[in-house]
Amino acid sequence: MKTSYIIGLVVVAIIVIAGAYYYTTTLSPQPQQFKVAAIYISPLEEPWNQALHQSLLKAKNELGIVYNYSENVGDSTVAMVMTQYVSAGFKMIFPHSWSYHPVTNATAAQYRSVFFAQGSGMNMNYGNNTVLYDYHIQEAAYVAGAIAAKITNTSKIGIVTAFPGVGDVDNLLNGFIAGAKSVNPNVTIVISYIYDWYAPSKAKEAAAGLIESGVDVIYSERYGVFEACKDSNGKIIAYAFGNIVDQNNASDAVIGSVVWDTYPMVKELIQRAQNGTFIPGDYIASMSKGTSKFVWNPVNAAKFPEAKAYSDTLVQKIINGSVVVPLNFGPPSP
Amino acid sequence: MIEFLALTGLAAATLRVAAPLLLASLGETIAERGGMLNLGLQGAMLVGAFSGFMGAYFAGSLWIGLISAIIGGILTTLLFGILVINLDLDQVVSGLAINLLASGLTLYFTRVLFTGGVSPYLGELFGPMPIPFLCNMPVLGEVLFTQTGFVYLGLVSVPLIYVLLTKTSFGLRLRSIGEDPVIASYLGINVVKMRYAALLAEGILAGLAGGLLTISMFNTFDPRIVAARGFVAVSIVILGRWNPWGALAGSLLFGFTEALSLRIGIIFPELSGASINQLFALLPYLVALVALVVGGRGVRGPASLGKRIGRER
Repeated sequence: MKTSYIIGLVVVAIIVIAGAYYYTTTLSPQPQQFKVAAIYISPLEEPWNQALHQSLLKAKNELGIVYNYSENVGDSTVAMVMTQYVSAGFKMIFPHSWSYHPVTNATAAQYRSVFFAQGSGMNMNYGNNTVLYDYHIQEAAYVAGAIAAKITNTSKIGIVTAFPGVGDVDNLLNGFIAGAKSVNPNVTIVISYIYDWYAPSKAKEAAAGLIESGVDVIYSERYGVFEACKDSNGKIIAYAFGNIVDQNNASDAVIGSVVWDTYPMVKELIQRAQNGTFIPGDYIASMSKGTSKFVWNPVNAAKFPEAKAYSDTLVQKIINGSVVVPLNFGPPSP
Repeated sequence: MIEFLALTGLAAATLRVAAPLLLASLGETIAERGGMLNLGLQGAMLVGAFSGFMGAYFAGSLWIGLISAIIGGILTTLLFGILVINLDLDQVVSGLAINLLASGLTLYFTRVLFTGGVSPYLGELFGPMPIPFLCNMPVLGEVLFTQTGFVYLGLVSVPLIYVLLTKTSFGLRLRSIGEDPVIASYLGINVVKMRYAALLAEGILAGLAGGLLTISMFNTFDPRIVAARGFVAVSIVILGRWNPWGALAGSLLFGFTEALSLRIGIIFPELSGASINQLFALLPYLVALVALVVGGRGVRGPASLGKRIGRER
């Protein structure tokens, strides 16, 4: 027999076995459970996706729901993916990308018995079944900015971010800058744009450039900054903040992370959908709801006790309303 | 003085950014000189990045990560070899198929192997390894001799591969296969063996280029980690006219423009966020286009590049 036939046979056998395995494990009938789906535009690794994915995994364990997800779903196929989930009996869908919002609007109007939680967007028709949420974690970014201004020795703070002119991101940068200026109005803040949503090598080089110019604390709005924070002897030459998800275990150069904890929101939305008290409209994240958090890296909390104490007080003030960090989608002015 | 220091940093950054492109394009140069257009280079880098990370993570040793990155790269280019050498399939289609296979498999195994589906962080990375004494030289010490092992390896490989291709009988035989594999086989050259040898070399270099990304540059695996570096490396080979020195020049060009676009806003803060940055990001492609138009006319690659050998062999 020719080699090509053998290879062909092996490929067919693998497909048949994998298909049978998939059928028996995934497609076989399951007991009636509340089924939740999330649709992501990029891979799971993206922090924005991680923030929701981790919470839904937690909800799967703690609330006993079924959780399925699709990743790398482009705008042209999202409508198909969404209706497939609906016809498969999913009761709540998280279309977790800004660009999905028109499709969510159309699909939600078509299936009013299914709940939709749209991750960022605009011009939503909420109907009776749609919620719009976003990562409004400028309060946590404000706390990070204040800590940055407390621990910098050079009075020069850096920000590494993706693109200028993205309102949701600028909101975080504005929070960070306001926090830094609240501690030291004369602190210098340099923003470095890498023009890419995911490019750790670019973020690393941007951070290296900032550090060479005298910056010693960096808000890592994108991945890749921490790896530039140590010299060739492994000595920390700059500190950094993680963003959106807790990245404190990535490096001991991480002071702490500006965290979007979606679990309180996910839990509330699922429970309200289950017991018939779903409230359509906007869901705003905040420190008082527990969805916006600053999480210290324990290693550095011990190293900077004064900044830690200051930030604890600041968090209390934000929660009780004596310090207000408004939403600000305008261009940042460092 | 500040500007001078910034230039030193820029030069060092150029080499860091260029390193994965240099390693990959050197590997592709060898394969293309043997008449194989391996667009699967992208996939080989991705598998290298994946296996490098997995090796380093599960064995707890960066060196094992390095070895598994090389093995991953070799396995991917050898698969390309089976398709185009043994089965005599179309090179372009085979290369693209390998890219799809690599992105599918690496994503699948990442999701299956880790709870939550996402790679964790490595505790350490291959950082810069300053070369004793030489690293204390002014300017050059920081630019050339305080780099990671991957940068040294890439730079040292350039003259070695140049000599291999132009001054050894191996190189002569490989290049004659690249021109006409049928005639080469009539002359008694073992085309299959030589092409596998070239793919083996490419696999090692592509594996290193991919592994660099997950065990030296960044400390976790992400399916997007390679970006388009594999395809950029293929275009660098053409820009560099199938010559290792050309590959070095092309890689440095891409490295320099990217490093510059990332630092221009720091050297001149008033330019931070200005649209001129986007122009800098475009620069390497623009320069490549101009270089091809001005210097590329009349230059042709290996004659059998991308062609099937056929059955008469």
